[in-house]
Amino acid sequence: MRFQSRFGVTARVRLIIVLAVLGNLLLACAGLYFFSLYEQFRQDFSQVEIPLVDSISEVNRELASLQIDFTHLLEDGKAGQVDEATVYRRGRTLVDRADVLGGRLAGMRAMEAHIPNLDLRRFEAELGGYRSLLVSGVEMMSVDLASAEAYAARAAKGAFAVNQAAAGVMEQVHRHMADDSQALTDRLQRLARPVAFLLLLVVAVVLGLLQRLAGSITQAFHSVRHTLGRLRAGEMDFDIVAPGTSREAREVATCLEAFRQTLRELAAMRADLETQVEDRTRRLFEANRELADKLARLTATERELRLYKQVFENTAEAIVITELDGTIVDVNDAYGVITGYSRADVVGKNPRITNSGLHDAAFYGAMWRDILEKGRWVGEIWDKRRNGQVFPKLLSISTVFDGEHRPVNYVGVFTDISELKEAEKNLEQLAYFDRLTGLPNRRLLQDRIEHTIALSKRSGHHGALFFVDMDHFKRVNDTLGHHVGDQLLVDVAARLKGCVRASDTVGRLAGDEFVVLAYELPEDSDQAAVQARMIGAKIIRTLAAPYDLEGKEFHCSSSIGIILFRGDETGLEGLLAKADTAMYEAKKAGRNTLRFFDPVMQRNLQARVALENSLRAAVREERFCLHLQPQFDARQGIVGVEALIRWNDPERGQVSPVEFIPLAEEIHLIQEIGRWVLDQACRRLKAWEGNSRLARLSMAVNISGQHFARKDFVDEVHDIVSRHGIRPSQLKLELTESVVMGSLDESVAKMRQLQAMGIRLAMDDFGTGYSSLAYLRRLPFDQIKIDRSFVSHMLENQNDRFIVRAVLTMAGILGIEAVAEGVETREQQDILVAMGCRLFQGYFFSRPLPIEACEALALERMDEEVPIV
Amino acid sequence: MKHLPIALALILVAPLANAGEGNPPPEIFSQEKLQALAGQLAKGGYVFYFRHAATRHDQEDHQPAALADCASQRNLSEAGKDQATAIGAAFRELKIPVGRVIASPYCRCVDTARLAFSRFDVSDDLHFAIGLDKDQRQAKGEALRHLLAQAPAPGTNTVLVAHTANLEEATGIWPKPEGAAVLFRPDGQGGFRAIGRIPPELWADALAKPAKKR
Repeated sequence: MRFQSRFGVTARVRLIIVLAVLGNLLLACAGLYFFSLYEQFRQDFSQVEIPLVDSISEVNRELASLQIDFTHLLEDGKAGQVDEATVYRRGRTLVDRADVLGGRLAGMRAMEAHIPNLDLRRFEAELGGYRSLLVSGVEMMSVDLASAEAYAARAAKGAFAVNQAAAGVMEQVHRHMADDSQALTDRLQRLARPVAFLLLLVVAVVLGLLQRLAGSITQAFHSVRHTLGRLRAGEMDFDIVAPGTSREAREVATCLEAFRQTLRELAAMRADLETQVEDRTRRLFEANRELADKLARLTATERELRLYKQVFENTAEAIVITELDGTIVDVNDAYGVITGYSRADVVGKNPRITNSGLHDAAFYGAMWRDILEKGRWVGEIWDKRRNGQVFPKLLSISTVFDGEHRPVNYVGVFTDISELKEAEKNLEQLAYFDRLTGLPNRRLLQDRIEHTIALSKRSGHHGALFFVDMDHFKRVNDTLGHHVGDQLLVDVAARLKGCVRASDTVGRLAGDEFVVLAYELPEDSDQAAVQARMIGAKIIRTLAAPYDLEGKEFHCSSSIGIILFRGDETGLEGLLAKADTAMYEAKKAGRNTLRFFDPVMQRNLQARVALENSLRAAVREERFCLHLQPQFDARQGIVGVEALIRWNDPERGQVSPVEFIPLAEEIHLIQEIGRWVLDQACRRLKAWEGNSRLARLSMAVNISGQHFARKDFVDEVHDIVSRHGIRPSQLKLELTESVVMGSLDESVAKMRQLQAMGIRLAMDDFGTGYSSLAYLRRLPFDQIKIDRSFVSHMLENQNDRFIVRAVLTMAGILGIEAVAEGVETREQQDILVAMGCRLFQGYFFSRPLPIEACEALALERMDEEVPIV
Repeated sequence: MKHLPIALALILVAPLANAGEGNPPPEIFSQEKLQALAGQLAKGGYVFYFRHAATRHDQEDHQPAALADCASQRNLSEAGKDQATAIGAAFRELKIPVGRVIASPYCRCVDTARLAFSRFDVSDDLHFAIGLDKDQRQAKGEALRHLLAQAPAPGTNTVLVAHTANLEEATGIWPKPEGAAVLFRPDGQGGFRAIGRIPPELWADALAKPAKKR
């Protein structure tokens, strides 16, 4: 404690630093000295011993390599793989390498001065010996390769001796290095002990001083912390003790005293402030709560108001608020939307401004009675919009009462129900009226027709049903589109309505089929027919007027079928069917006209059905026979025949093919008939084979389009031909252009198959169809038959003559036979011959004949002919 | 064809140049060739380089050589001595005039020269090159080339008797076997040309054949 009281802290710290610096200086001096000793030792090593050891190692290594090469040379010599000259050349190199080693050893002699006891002489001597051995070995081998063997052992021994000498030198160097390092160690040890002792002493003194200094500082801190702790706890009245006796301690005590004073003043100020703050906080809190209450009340009210306002503004129902005297106070937006009146228009006015005038005073009186007695009224009422349009609305009027249940306002709420009403009407319309034209549909028409029939029956007047069909309407849809087609139908509907009396009915059945129903026509049927014809003619005229479709002028005629009735009909469908038939007759008559359904019409229909039945029976019973029309060459000789079918009916007699062939096609009997003809023709051909003259005739058979189009047509022909075993070249099939044009590729394929069988093909009626020369070239015909119409008019019509000439020329070029059909006069034959025609058919030569007659004619004519060899 | 001049030049120059390693060794003479050349040789102007005659292979040279002590060297065998004698006789028989005879200081060379030609000079230039270091070896090679290029006195031929290594160092030609000779012709301008190699048995045969002819 004496030490502590005599010196201040600063002075003691300075003393410790000085001691530490002295200690470090001592350590540094010792370190430097040791380092210099070590450096000298290291220099000796790196300049003498290490290079020496390196050199010896290198010599050893090179020697080993030399020995290996020498051994190789000896072995090569022994094996006779080298000649003497090569031995010398390789040996010469080895000797040179040994000389280089010798040079290195001589260089090392300089080291002997630095290392006592080092003796390189033996090393040199052994190396010299090894060199001699090398020279002797090479010399002897260059004289006699066989002597190599003797040198192998000697060379190894010599190399070993050199190695031993090198090891001896290394040993000497190592020993010297060991001695040197021992000497260094001894010297360092001698010096290190006192230095270490001195250092330990300095460190001990410094540590002791530090210990004491730390103790006194810690004590002072404790004292100050204790004092500050008491002050923090609020204790103010106690003696502040200095933390020690040093000057610094006394100064700390003074500072603490000043700090205590400051604390006292602060405490007083804070107490005053707290009182003030508490007071103000309380008053603020109260004011705040009051404000919050007010705000909450206001917000609730405002929200409520906003809600009512929005309901009022946004509801789809119109709302009117009035005074008790009816003066309008306010209306919402929906009111404006429905009535067309704006808010500004109606506020201050009476709701009567929208009255439609459709309701009488009694209606309004009843309404007000309800309001006054029950407080409200609900009902449908017709009103008028600002634009004058009258509309139905569903209205509800209520009375608004105040707190004392006194009425203060009326509120009217209404919706526009005109769309609802419209929808109801549309529903009805859909069921009975055509959606596009608005005309009665089939369902309503049925009603009306039945009604009219009943009327006509009762009154005895005639009624008339007009079945109207637009001509080629489908073309409108196809070319201009359905949109335009629809527009046309709408226009037609309007025109039809304009053609008849309002009491008459116009309806639409479907598509472009319209029906007009007229009644109260005269009782006399002739007069009624005249009147109906007048109406029909008017309709045709009206509908034929040009239409304006999307700015374009368009024409469309109509066909009309008419049926007159006077209560004796079976209803709508029966009448419609008859009118339809009549309309079809009108179409057949060339369209843009009208036809009555009358008994003659009816009879025609029945006749057709009967013919159909007869034809079926004829096919079944084979009531056909063949007639043959001969074909002639220019010398009047018969070259072939055309088979023509004849129908000899037991009831009808002869029926013309012109009459029954189209019917057979229509009812799909043509294949069977065609097959029968083919079969008969082939049978005939077979029969002719027995006669040398008839056997030369060819037989042409007409094939209908429907028959030819069948997939199995070729197979069928093949079957028939092979069944009868005829020569196919005698059979000729006649096809018309229209038959093959349908599906050209398929037809050509079939024709080629037929030709492959040997059957010949003729083109019938050439010139009446498209007759394109390009097609003719593509089609593999063997013959063309120039149609009778050209031949018969050829004399008076130059065009026909040209055509015939052209056809004949063309046929000649293409290498196709040409037959002129329908030749009736000598003049015709002459001109045809002049044009180069070689084959003829026609009445001038021969009519179609029964088979036997034809055969007889052929035999007769062929007798005259010079047989062609 | 454009290389032709260069090729021609090489063919002409090659024999004149030192026959170094890589050049093909000169032709080995047959008896007929030797006889055919005899007339030419008789006119002189050639240098004969002899490798000493056959030696005893149970002896070896001491290293380094002790030239004065024949016992420390590999010496001529009996056959070698006969060879040497035959060489001399054949020279005389073929009338090949001999001018200078220079031998290596080794006993086997001295003995060969003496037995063949009775007279000779010894030159250290022909000291066996085999045990020498590189510089000395090259000096011996250079000295021999000088000797080979030196023209003999008119009407005579020079004879050199030495070892394998020296000729190898000088010309790259390895004379083989012992007793073999290589014939050179100095060109008088400091160069020489190797003419051919003469196997040792040719000399003995040369002695026998003319006798038969006669």
